[in-house]
Amino acid sequence: MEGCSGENVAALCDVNDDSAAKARNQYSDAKYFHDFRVLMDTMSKEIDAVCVAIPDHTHFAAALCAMQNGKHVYVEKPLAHNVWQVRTLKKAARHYGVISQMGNQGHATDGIRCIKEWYEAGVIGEVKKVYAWFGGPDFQGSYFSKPDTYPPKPEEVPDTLQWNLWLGPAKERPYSHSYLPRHWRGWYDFGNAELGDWACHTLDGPFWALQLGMPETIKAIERSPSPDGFTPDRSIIRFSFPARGEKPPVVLNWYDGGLKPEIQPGWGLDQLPGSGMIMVGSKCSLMTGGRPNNPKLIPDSVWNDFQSNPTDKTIPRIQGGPWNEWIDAIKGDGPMPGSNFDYSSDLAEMTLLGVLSQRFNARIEYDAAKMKVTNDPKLNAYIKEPVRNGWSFGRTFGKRSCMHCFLSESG
Amino acid sequence: MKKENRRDFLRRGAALAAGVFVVPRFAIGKEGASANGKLNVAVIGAGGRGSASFGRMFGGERRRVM
Repeated sequence: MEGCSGENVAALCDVNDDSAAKARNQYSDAKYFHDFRVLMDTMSKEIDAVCVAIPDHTHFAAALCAMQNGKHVYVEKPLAHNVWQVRTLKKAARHYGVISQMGNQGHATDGIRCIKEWYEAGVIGEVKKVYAWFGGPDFQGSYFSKPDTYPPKPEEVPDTLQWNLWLGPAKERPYSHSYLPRHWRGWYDFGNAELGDWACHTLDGPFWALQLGMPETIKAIERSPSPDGFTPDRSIIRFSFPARGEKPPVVLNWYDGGLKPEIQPGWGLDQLPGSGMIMVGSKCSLMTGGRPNNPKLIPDSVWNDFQSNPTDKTIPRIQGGPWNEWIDAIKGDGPMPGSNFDYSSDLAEMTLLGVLSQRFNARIEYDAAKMKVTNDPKLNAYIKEPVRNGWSFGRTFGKRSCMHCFLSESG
Repeated sequence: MKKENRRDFLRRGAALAAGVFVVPRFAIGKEGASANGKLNVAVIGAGGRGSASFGRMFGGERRRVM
């Protein structure tokens, strides 16, 4: 056993000096940058690995920029902002041979392993229905708020903010405090609403255990009206997955904004918690909270019997959580992390398709092999979104300067 | 079996023997890289989302099992 006091933070990057102040104080030896492209071009030789924890719309450029310099990457969920980006990140992680991990922390827990083990051991039987619900968005909370007008009233950019860098690849617009530091998730140009924030946690268990793959159709079956480009207060999104081998088709319903599935008699529940997930099995059902960490079987009578005679643990457990898992893999002390991009890009793709359906109150027929919406072609503009000059990463792979696209583009 | 230190372990590429483990992939010994076996990490998004997630990662609470 060897104590380890953590890794060395060599560089910090943020476009908001106010937000970064605490981290800069804590890691006073770390060099500080506003632009991650400059960071990478300046310090690449001194960096082993990169953590990307910025708003969704800029994930892709940062992660690609790091990988094309050979850096291992830990990227927050839902990995990126559109389907083309998450697929390109998957290809890039393979191409550059780096260790990747998405920040759906629950994937490193014993809980999600139990979900897969119980399902595979036949404990819950066949699953054809999955329900997931999440209480937010809470517009009085930390991550969502509503502006007085849409679009928000233009404001003067604070001296401490690099607004143009914050916008990154997204279309230019006047600054407003309504977008940041934390309220970007409600704006579809930057974030992916409550669904994008939480589906990679709440749906990780069923997605992994049932090997759902890509849905064939995704439909907003209920959605409250909202201003253009802004999250609704509430929605119900239905994902329909085809059969996978002997596994039957699955219908997965996502509820948010306080909506919840109707309680079924077989569940033995009087009420549902604020957030959760239920896989409805032919023998019994499996329930978690908003994260996969603590699954149980329902009804209680089944759970009590099961606990006195549980199934074998067949999947290796992770010591110390997703960050250690990633760091151990980089150092050669452990296997590839479970939420590496080969896995997590698919989870993110499913999530982003749900977000697309929610955003446009749409029913989507999706051809995963062609990466296309087949029934509503205008939505394909959101499968791969346009970017501003300087931000067109990932068109080709190769080692090059991160400022390369910025400098070489003229239009 | 002789107890080897961490650096020996990494140099030897012992992880390969375990089959499923990947080759050590960080810059020990390279110019500019950390000489103490720690990874040199860049955090993009040092405020906001980053400080919450990665503060725990680099705050000295990391546990190691070897």
